[in-house]
Amino acid sequence: MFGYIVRRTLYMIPTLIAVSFVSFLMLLLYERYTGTYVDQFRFNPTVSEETVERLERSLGLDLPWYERYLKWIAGVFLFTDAIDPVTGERWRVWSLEPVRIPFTPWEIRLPVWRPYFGESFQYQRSVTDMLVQYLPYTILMTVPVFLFIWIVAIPIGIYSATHQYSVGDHALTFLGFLGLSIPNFFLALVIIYVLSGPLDVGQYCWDRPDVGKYCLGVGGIFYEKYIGLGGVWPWQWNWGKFLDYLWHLWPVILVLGTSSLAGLIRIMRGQLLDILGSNYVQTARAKGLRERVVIWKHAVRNAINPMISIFGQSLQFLISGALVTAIVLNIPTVELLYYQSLLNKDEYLILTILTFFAVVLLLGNLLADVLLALVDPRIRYD
Amino acid sequence: MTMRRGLFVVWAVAVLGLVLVLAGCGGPQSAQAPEEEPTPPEEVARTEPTPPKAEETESPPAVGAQEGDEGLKLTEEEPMGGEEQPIRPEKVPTPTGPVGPAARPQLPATVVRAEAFPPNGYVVTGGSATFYVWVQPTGTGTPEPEVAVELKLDGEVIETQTVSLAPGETKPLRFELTDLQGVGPHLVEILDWTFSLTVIEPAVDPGVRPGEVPPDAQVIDEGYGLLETGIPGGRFVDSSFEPPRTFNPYAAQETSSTVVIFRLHAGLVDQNPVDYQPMPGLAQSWEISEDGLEVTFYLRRGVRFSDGEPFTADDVIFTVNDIILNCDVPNNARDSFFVQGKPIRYVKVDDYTVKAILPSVFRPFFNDTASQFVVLPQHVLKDRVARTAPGAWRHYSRSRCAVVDAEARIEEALVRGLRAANPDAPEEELAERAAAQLEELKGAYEALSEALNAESVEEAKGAALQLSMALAKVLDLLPAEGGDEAVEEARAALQRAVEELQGIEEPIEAGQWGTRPGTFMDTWTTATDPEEIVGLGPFVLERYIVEQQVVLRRNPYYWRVDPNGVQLPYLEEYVFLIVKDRNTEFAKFKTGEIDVFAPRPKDWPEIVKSADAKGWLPILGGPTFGTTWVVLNQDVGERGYPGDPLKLALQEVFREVKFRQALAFAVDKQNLIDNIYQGLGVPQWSPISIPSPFFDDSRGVDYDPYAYDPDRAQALLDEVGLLDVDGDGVREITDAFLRARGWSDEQLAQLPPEPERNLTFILSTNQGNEVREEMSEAITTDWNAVGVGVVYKPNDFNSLVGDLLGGKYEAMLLGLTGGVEPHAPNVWKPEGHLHFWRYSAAENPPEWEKRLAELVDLGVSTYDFEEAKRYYVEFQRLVRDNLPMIYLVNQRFLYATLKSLGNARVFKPNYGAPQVAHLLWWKDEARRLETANPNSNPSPNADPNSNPDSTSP
Repeated sequence: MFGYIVRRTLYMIPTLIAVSFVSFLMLLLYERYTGTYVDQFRFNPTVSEETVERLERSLGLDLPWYERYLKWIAGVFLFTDAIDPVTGERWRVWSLEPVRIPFTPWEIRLPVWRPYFGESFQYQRSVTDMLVQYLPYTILMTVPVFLFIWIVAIPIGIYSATHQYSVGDHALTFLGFLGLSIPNFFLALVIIYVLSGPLDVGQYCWDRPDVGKYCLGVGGIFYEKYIGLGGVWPWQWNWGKFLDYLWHLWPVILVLGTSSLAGLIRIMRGQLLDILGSNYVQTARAKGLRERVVIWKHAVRNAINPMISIFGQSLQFLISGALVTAIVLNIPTVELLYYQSLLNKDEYLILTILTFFAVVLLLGNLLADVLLALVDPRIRYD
Repeated sequence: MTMRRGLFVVWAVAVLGLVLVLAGCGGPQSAQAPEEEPTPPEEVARTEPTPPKAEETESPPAVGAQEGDEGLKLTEEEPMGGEEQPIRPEKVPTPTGPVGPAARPQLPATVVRAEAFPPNGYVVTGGSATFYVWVQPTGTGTPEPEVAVELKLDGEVIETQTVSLAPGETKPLRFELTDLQGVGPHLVEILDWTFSLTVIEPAVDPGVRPGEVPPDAQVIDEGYGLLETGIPGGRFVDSSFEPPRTFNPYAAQETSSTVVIFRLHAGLVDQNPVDYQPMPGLAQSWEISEDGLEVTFYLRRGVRFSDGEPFTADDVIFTVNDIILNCDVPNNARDSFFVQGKPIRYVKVDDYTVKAILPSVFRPFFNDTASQFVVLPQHVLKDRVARTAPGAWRHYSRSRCAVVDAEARIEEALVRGLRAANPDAPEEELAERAAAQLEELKGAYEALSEALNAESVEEAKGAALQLSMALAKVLDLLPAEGGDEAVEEARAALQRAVEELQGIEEPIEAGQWGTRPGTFMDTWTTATDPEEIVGLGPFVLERYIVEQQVVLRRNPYYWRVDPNGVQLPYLEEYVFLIVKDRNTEFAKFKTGEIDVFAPRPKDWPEIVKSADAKGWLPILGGPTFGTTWVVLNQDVGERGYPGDPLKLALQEVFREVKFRQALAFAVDKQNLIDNIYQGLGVPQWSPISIPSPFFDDSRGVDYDPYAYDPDRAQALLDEVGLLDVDGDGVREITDAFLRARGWSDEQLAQLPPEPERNLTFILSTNQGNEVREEMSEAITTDWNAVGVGVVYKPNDFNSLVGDLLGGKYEAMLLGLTGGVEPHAPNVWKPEGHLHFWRYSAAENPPEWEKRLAELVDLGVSTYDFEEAKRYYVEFQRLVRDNLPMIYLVNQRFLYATLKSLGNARVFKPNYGAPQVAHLLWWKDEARRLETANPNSNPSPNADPNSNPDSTSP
């Protein structure tokens, strides 16, 4: 098993290089028709051509495309060429460099991987920095949604399968499809409109010791005054901020949760129905096993395998978040950063985020495969 | 990189842990440290004051006011960890003069412990001294309820604090002496405790302390947009569509960054929000020399940056020379520092006077200075500009930047040097010699320029050598020794130029990732600690939370006051909430989370309707800046599609002014206004933005020379001979029309027969811009109705711009941004690179375009507003009559805020006018008292004297 995981992880590296290369080619195609980052300044009468040109050179956009890509990939795996800011000397920062273990007097050295993903054109900051900033807020939004979907969908799917064509089955399926068929952005807009217009939640205000006057808000993940209070993670908050977070969370769960429920319910229901119709279930029933044992021990355990694969694939949602909903509900997700960088053709940011998505997708698949092996003794990787 | 930092953190934490563990195992006295006493700072407590010797006075330890402040902050905090705490002496021995209590038994209280900062008693330039005393009532009897404790400096009472003491109780007090003058020893007495102070140097410029205003503060009154005087306090929540990308004014490229940045910084000149004329900023006044080539700015004295450092002429010179004109810093402001390819230079006259030297009279100088040039602190950034992209000069040497820079320096150096070297020589001879030298230099420059453009290193080397030799000759002309300052400066400039030229020998590639860490461009990014961002604007950055919120706090050193002498800005906090969606933004405005909203026209009716119930103040402003227009390519045959005779015929049509006028008459502008802007717009006819003071408003804002008149349009089309020959509803380009424009029979023979020569062309606009798409569709309908077969075809913006700049299009609907200043030579001069309607005019411009080009130059050649406006009025009428572009409509400013916001009417969120945010104030007292976090620690800049009890444990 361990060997299998190591092997899979090693296989990921060429896959990721291929993914990044294809991503870069597509980015080039996109830039071919919409221009590069600096082109947006060309039609501005106050910016001279010379300034645009200087900007282009300073960002390295005057280099041919393959050089731009090679330098990025070299920065990730091999080295980065840098110029000493003080002396002007050039030196090479190796991405895989032997480093002495801290706290040891011994001369043991370990290779440490220090990938460099380049700088964002818009932000003049390291791309990893940007990603790290957006990730916590994305996770704050996606983890509850993710939990909601899985905790609700599987029991409903099982219920629907065991109570096929009953009123409950129909009602739940109907609700699931209702959620699926309403476009996310539309539902988000409706929620925002209803909360701010007819319900006017802004009129409900309290005096809080930590922020003063607090009113119910619409959109975002916190009320404006709570944004700066405490840290990013829930364990750095006080109760007021946590309650405020919950208040801002339910529209997100409603919008994103309902839209994803139907699919999972249908898959779970279909799988379970398939298995419930198979011979061994009939045998189990025939030998007089209790219905609960038949369903939970014999049927569900076999029906869960495709769900695990789906689980692995959907892990990527945890770090990307949903774009349109994030815009309407005003939540800073990684996908939003990606969208902005696409609009601005922020090459290295786009490339890094795409690669990052691919990493999570591959890891999710690996996790799913490992889980499958754990859940299903028939599956072995040797 | 982060990995390395991470390792460092792990290491640091481990080492700290180790130290703590050791300290925990350490001496027992740490556990027995007196807990009831507040803990003064460690360093001070450890300092064993040494009796000074006479020679030590020459090298006093640099202990200033700030350390005193830190001392205060530390005493407020809990004692640090379990570290060892030395047992302190009961009383700190004083270094000089009398020590210890004087026998004064009549005092009601006595000092049991005292500490002074600086502890050794030496106070350096402009410094302050802080004293902490712990007092106890004397005797055992009932003490007086209130004891007045005085601080005497040389016997004179400076400060008195009252304290109530229970028997046996000890209370700490804090005294602060600031701006100590008078060099020499002084005696400080507090009750029975005395201390000897020695002032090494007096305070030079006392400047202002936080919350005080400098003597030269600018009074903002009605003339500058103040409608009513306000009361300070409160927070205001604005919204922004996009997050700021950077906090560096010279790296910022987009409004989402500049709207924040302009509230953090200030420039020499501002734009008056009322009439858009230049108004004094950091320069309290200026003087224009008679020839108009020198502008002397007199700076305000006593102004301080938000970190308390004084602002002087050096900061201005630093910003110009080391940032804006720095060849390694790509910034937009640089463009506004060049007049016809030559830089505007700034020279320091004295600490509070700078002189701008213009290459020619240039009126937009003031407006550009106001909008492009903010002064940055030299003391914070000087190390960052030294580390601009290294080797980049060499890399950029291909661009004209460096050459222009060197040229300006050397020209100046030459003239000054010659004059200084030969004070007796007659002026004419000097001028002749300078001219001869300049001629030679110029030849060398041109050779270098060409070589650099050719991108040939060998040629560039040769040219550089040639130029170096010419420069060396000039160097020889200067007197060898003992020249005056100007000559020395000239010599230095020449030597620098020669050195820079030598750099051409080693061309180096730029950094691969563009901006390298440590360069100016990655200074003050969104990751920077807000305390490091120092400015002169009304606000300072408090924090930025990614994609969510930017919080600005008032700058306690701001240099503007209202007529009552109240320091601006009124607001304590200015918050930008980042909201990406207009619907959400509106919802947040409705629920009261944000205080201002720039609505879309479709939101307007709802806002007006519920304004009274909600306490909203809807403000319908004038038209916005910028213009939207349709342009016809008058080179469509020659440049757009060479060799296509039908396009050549179309070009004749486009060049016919009556045709363009007919199209203008055929646009139903009222329909556009009603359908796209819900009636909240005005027709645009002038190339100059309507809010600009140069707009020709002699016939009112609603005047439209091309009001909708389809009949007139039809008549004009008939008149020029564009007739619908075959009756298919689309006019044809007839033989008669072309013959009248000098087409021969042979040329006509190349065209298809008349009925197949439909007058059709493609109108495009950028896909995704809803307003422009809707406009294009409406216009297409209008024009089809008068028999012009226009076909609408949207395209993406970048291809459009490419086509437009290359002259490969038929018709386009686009817009230009506009500002107060109408000067846009790129567009209006026939040789400009944005002269997109007729690039061929560069070779052979029509008469009216020649005059237009003249007017563009005339408009900037005078500082007299009225005269300039006359030129611009003529300019606008010329454009109106010749119609290179068919102007459409313009939206009006719409915004909504709360009724309780004072001075709201001068606040223009769309425009982001930097100079008005400081005038906003809350009429509602509850809003004034509101802060985001009442429990948070007061900022260190808050006045420490207002709350003397803050030192109590």
